[in-house]
Amino acid sequence: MSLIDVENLTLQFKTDEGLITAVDNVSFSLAPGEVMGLVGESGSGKSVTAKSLMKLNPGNAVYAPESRITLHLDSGPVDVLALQRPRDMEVVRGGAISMIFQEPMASFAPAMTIGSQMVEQLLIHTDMSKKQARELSIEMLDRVGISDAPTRFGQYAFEMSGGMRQRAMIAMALSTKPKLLIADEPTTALDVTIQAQVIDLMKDLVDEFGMGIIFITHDLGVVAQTADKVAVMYLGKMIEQGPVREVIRNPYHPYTQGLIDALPQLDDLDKPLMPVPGDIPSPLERPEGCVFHTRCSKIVGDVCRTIVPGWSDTGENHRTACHLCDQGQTA
Amino acid sequence: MSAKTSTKIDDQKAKEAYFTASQRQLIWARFKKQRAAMIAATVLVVLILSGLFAPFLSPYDPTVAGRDKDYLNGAPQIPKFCDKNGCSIRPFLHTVTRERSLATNFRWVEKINEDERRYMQFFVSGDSYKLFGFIPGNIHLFGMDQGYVHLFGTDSAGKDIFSRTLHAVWTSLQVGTLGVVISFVLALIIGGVAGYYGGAIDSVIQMITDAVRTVPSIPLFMAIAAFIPPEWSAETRFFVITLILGLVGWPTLARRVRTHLLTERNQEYVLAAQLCGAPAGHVIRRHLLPSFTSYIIVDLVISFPYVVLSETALSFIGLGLKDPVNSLGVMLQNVTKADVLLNYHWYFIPVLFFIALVMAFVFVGDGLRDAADPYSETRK
Amino acid sequence: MTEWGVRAPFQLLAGNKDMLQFARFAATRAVMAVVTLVLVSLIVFTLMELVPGDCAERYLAYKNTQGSAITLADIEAERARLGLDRPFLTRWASWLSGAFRGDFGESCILRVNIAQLLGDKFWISLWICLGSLTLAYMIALPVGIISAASKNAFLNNSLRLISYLGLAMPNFLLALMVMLFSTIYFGETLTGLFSPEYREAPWSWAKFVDLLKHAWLPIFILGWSATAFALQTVRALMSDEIGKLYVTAAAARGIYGRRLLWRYPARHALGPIVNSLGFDLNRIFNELPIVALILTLTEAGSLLLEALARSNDQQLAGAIIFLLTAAIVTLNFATDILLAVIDPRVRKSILR
Repeated sequence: MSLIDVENLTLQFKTDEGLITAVDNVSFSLAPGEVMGLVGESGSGKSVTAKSLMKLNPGNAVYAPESRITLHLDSGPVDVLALQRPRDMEVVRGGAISMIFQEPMASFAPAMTIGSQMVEQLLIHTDMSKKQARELSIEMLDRVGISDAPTRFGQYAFEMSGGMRQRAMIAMALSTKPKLLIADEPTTALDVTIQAQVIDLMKDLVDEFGMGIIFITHDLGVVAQTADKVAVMYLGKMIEQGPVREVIRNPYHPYTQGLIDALPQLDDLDKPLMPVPGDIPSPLERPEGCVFHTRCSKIVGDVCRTIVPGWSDTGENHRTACHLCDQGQTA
Repeated sequence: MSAKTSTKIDDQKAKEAYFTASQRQLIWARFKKQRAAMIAATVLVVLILSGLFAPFLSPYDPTVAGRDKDYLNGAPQIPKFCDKNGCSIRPFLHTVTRERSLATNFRWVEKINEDERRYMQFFVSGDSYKLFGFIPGNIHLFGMDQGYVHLFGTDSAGKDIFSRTLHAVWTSLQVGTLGVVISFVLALIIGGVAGYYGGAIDSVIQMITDAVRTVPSIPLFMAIAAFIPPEWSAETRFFVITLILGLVGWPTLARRVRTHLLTERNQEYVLAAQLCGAPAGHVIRRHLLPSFTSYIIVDLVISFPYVVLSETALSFIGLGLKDPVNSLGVMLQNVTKADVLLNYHWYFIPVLFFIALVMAFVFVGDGLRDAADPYSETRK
Repeated sequence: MTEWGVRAPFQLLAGNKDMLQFARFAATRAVMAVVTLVLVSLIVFTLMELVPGDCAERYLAYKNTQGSAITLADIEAERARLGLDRPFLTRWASWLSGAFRGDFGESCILRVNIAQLLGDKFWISLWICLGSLTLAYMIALPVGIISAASKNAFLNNSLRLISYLGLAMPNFLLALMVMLFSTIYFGETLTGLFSPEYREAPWSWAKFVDLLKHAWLPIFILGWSATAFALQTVRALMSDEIGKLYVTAAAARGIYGRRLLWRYPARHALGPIVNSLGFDLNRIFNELPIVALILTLTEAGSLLLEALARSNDQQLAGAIIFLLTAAIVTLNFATDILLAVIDPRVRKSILR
């Protein structure tokens, strides 16, 4: 049984300029202990998709009625989008789902100690006493490789280095033993060497805790190292998903191919970089038909400009939404 | 790519226009979106125009020269179109006779003669004036065929409050502009020196600026204004008071200029320009100044109402402007008397104009600030 | 650790070394406050010197109007008596050293000791102003925080309008309006600070109660635009804080509602709010003399007005401006210290 099922997730933001579609009919599911990489350029809707799992999007977000997110827990399924009261959302916010953010500095409250924020979270989600919560927090800090954990527990985020903050963030996210961890570009703001440490740490912890991870990134290299499967998003649409090796070796969608070609090749340094041509359109003017057609180099015909492509199987568990693979068929 | 429709090209043009728009155009585009600020801007333009053309718009001279000696402390007169004798296209007033004697307990008692109509005329010649201070004229927008019309009533000397109000708006605009310009020049020099040199000079200037900023400004104004010799003419007084307002108002602006300069100077785009080989003058002119002129303009608009309010307060207590210069403060000098409070409420009509003027400035300043800040929309 | 992080600083300060560091910080701030005051005194004193005519001339000119004939020699003698023939810096130094001891010399015209003349009046003014400051923040803090957190457009727009009205309608106009309505509807003016029977009476509980009965109006009027300003400050700071990532991160950990609002953005907006208190007091002092005039109060503000408007008494005016500034400087010093206690970022930078 899967851990979380996302079906037909469509999300729009109400703004002065009208409704802006941020996520368009996205579906995926994740098994317990599985690591999924969610890849896309900035503005592709990957963070918004992830935040929907915790119903964390701002007040002007409108979920389409057919959207459904189901979280399967031991205690039974939870219909995430039906949760209304903040009290009931505790389970998806820090309980069964935890999230770590891109900027560890900005995600800790600056005038509260790391420890007090960790303890606060534990007191909300468990029946621990303050003392137990404190002990567990220090143990978690120790576990993620922070030396002198009891001292660090009483310190503020501004007193730590970037890598240490992100470790503390991970310790905090994992302390409630969530079933699903959402990591929103957790390594982007870090130095390359620290990045590797943090990724290794996350891999170890996944093995140890056996939870599912949604790893949001624009870096296919990181995904290749860490994820079991990968989903590629473009302008709010999911355009290709499948097992990570399969997708990286046999990318089907022109955009995915473009992303992989754009990666620098360390074995052939003379090879020119191949950027995906063009710019991502503004979400205010989403193209008709296939959202990628304005930048696509393999346009099949008018069908790309008018008809939204449906999913086609392009390998084992590998699906692509592109007219190239279903010429003649309509969505 | 070849099959672009014409709307797409238009789109492209619109987008291009957006991306290549100057900062001023962007600010204007964002400003237009704010309803409150746009309404305030309209009100402000109307007020500025009515101040500018005050001599033409007001029927009488606002000084004693234009007084109506038969209608002292007179109530506002509203022209009407109809009475019991029928209607007229031209608005008219009834003739009023006033009497004050032992029989009326020495209070003004008005008798309205409903059968005698005085008609309103437009573009009449009347008291001569100098528009903008140098264009002579004597045509007024409206007047009466006989007698006077006082839309807002008259004061104890019989001066027309409507005329005075319009002139007072003009005075306030002058005081505000001059005061802001003076303090801005000072602020630019002092803040510029502090921000440009930095280091010890900056620290010393900051210390002095902070010390001046700590002194409450109105008591300080009062202290300085109190010692202006009473025999100086009203015009000299006007300039000196404005000068004082400017001299005391610089520290806040200076601080902001300095902060802008310091932060902008260390921005990477300045470094980028320098690395491209741009000379210092070019960097200052083409990069530094445009980067914060919009903020400075916003600061100026925001500090404007405070200068106006300070002048009003000073004149109100008798330390600021004096007759025959018209300003709200001068007009309000007598209103604390019980007599005025009880009987002559129209003395307060100008107050509404000033609240409108100040609020318009505050709203426009706020709208401009939001429009000038590219990140304001994300905050809201 | 503690929930609010307020007990924590004291725990942290428990160490002897930390205590010493903190004392050093406080001492530095105190020195800076004194330097500011010295600078201010120089400015004020220079202004008083630049005024045409000195104290001796003024006093004797006053006497002249009373009928006694005055010669140039009399003025010179008076100058010598008042020490006005000494060089500028010497006089400033002696004025300054007197000022720090609370001795401002004699008034130019009234010939009374200024400290005695001001006495209670200054303290009453100060308490009225602090009262309005407190009132302003008692309203502005909860309303500002809640309105920044709320998405109710109507609430926000009306609050915006009210606070702009507070900015646009200067206190003296408000005072005038209150006077206007009270005379029209109640037929009496709500003026003065004391009932006639207590005006000259020595301080007693009854006099104090009488003062409170009268003081609410000036406190309300002075608090009016202070509230508007405070509301704007609080709202802007809160909106800033609410948009920050750490608030989203806290929400992602399951914290919600009031707990989220007060523990996260509100607590972090507190520092800058505390920082702005000094300037709020400054603003209130600006309004004080004119409001005092309208409400015919008899405290320092109106005394200042009298000193300036009627008799050009530079000694008295200088003393009052110096005292008002000293009150602001003291408040700034207090908020600096408070900020260091409540904000760990400031505290840690001190304890390094």
